Amino acid sequence: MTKEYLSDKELQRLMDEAECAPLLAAPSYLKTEILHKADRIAAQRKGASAGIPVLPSSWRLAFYSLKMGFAAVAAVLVLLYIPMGPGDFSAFQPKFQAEGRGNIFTGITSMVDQKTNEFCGRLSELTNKEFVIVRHGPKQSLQRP
Amino acid sequence: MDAIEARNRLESMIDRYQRLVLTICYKTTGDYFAAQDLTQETFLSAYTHLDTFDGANEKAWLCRIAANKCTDYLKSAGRRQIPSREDSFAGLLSERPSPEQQALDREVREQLLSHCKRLKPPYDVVARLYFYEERRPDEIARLTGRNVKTVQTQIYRARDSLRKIYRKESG
Repeated sequence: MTKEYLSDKELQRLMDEAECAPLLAAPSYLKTEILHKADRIAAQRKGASAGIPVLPSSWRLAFYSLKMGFAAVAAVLVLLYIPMGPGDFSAFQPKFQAEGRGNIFTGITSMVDQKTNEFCGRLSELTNKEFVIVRHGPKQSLQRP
Repeated sequence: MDAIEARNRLESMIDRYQRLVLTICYKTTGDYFAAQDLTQETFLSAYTHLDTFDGANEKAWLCRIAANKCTDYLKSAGRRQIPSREDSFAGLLSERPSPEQQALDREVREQLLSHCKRLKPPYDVVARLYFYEERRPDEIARLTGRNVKTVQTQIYRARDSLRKIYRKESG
């Protein structure tokens, strides 16, 4: 569908009519916003001319979302596997000594190591249960139970 | 043309023609926020094409960009009625200055204020301070006791909500 733009005569008439009537006052932030966007365009052009690759905004958003996701996962893991608050280690000293983990610091690292191994072990069990290796003569095939 | 020269030229064009461009866009679309967006797009388009402009008639060039952008906006997806060229610009082309036009600015601002009040808190306050009273984000942050970034996010959301209100009213 072709768009019907104004002819030169119609445009001139439009401008004359608009200028005859009182003009709408432009809000002060309009100019600020236009100049701000123009500066961004200029910065992008400068980056492009210097050979710096400018990623589309959707890609930048995706990378940022991934970084935030990883940070959130790391924070959750820390909360789950390091259950004590900062400075409150003294209560665990007897426990670590009883379990033969040594001092507080080696105790914490060995506890984290143990929890991580337990988690990975559970994950492996779950994934292994999903598939069973069935032998049909010389070939092997994978199928769910 | 280097970047500084282009920016200075853009600033000069804005100072001289933003009211004319905004008026054309508002009278064509009937939507205050759409008119602001189209005005921004007009000047940014002019900025990106400054190198190709021969410098003959700056006002006509800007108005041509604005009129074409208004036509594109009116015919974009989501418009229930696609007005003919005559419908869109008839009122503007044939209308003579009237008492209503004398109060155009006051009417637009009163409408804007009433729409700002319809927003949920805290966006109603932020919208009134930014769009109606035209205060800067750092001033609003100081007045409301909030972080500047928070205020900027609230301005962005308030603008989105106001846009929807205006679009609903203009049909």
